[in-house]
Amino acid sequence: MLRVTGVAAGYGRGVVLHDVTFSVAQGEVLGVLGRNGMGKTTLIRVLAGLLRARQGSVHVGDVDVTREAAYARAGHGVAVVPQGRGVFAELTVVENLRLGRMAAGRRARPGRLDEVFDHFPRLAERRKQRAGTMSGGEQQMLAIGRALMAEPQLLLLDEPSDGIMPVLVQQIARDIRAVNVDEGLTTVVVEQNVPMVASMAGRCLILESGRIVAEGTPDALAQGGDIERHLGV
Amino acid sequence: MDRVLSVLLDVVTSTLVLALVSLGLAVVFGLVRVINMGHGAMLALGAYVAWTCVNRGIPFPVAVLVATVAVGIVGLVFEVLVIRHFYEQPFETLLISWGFYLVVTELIKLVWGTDLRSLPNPLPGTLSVGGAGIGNYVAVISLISAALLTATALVLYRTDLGVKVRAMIQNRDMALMLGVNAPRMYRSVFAVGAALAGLAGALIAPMFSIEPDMGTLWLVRSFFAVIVGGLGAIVGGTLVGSGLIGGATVVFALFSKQVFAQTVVFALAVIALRFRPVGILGRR
Ligand SMILES: Nc1ncnc2c1ncn2[C@@H]1O[C@H](COP(=O)(O)OP(=O)(O)OP(=O)(O)O)[C@@H](O)[C@H]1O
Ligand SMILES: [Mg+2]
Repeated sequence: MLRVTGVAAGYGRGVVLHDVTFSVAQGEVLGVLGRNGMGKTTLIRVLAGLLRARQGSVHVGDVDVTREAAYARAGHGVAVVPQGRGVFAELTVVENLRLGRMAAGRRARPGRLDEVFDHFPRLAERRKQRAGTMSGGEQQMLAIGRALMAEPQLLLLDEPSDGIMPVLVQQIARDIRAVNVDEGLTTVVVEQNVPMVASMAGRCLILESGRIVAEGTPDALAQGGDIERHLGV
Repeated sequence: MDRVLSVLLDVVTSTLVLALVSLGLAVVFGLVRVINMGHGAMLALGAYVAWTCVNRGIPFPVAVLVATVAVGIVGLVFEVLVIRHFYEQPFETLLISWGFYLVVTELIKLVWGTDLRSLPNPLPGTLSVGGAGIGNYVAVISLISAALLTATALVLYRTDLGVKVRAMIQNRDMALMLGVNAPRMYRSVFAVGAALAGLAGALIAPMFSIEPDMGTLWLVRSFFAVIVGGLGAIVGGTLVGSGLIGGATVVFALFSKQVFAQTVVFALAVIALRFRPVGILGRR
């Protein structure tokens, strides 16, 4: 579903990602672990189309999207929940979700809004509230709900646990997992929270200084000492 | 009593005329963050295009439409060739659009000369409102302005397009990731702003003399109206700002010369901005 081949990327003169290669199968949840500043967000930006890959290629399904702008990738079904959530603070909950539906274009299905409200009942209670006035956890639900409104083929999540209390982190992990199971949605989740990723992802990569240094199931990575070695936990 | 009503009508119509002239500037500034100095030249261009049309025997309403479309196209070309390379560089766009102003003004002089021109009032006569008189044409223009402000608000707050545009100005990257074609959106906004300038220029042409520099004072007035009204508060801000700049000038002009009144209002606006730099309805 997602194929990343030999990608290098960076800002200005600095190179952040070096020769990153991996792929994600249809319906799989892939975790990407890494400490602060290791290039996780940069990877998401490259996948989303906000940052050009200097080398290598990105395929979504059969489509080579390497040269496509972010809005065109959205058209191919790439939906992103960015670090910091990226909700539109001045817009209401419903307006934020409407933007997701607009991104769905021809993929849009009637009744999707109700499904999202079923997943996140708190959003239904707050339809008219301005997104900026919601709590961090609610904003995270909104960002995920908005991505789901887009009927994505590929969901990219950048540190969904960031700034969220532990109980809610587990809840969000279950929600993402549930969507993956119900809809077979291919998901890439970037995280520092190892237990969260272990509860969601079948397979993980570890990113260190912009290179993939380990790969395997969460259990294998833990037992092989990779998690301790590269993440220090 | 009649006198009060007549001043009141004057304040309302001045406000709406200034709002009409400012709307294009406000839309471009509010949505794509470009202070388009070229706005003044586009007003003049709209007036000249309308003048030419009327002199070729084209009915005035059609002439206004032609001016709107023509200036919109000029704005579109300017965006595609120049402005789009400089978004998010406020100082550069300011200078470049000032250059555009100068070039267009010189072109107008080349094509139409520097003589004063005028258009006959398309709707002569006055309307009596509760004993006070108001020119038919000013009344119609005020209504058109109110309609345009309402339409802008409806588009921004009631349509999918409006949600996209508002999302784009808050977080461009996120809007892109939601499929909003931001480059195309910016281009359309810029062209619409130009078209609004052409429309306004054509509509005010019969009320003032038409000359190549006619846009300058209007540019200053609408600039103040937009800034005082508030950054990003496109419709409300334009209306409030126009009320303060346009309306206050009418009131001060009761006691002094027009030019002096205008100067006092600008000075007050500068002081007000000193204390509230984001404008009256602006946030952040
Ligand atoms: N816009 C930018 N311009 C220049 N350098 C940047 C930019 N964004 C990130 N970097 C640099 O790229 C490197 C990787 O940053 P990135 O944001 O991808 O890390 P991360 O793994 O997401 O970290 P975190 O866990 O803190 O979110 C860092 O050294 C960072 O300083
Ligand atoms: Mg990050």
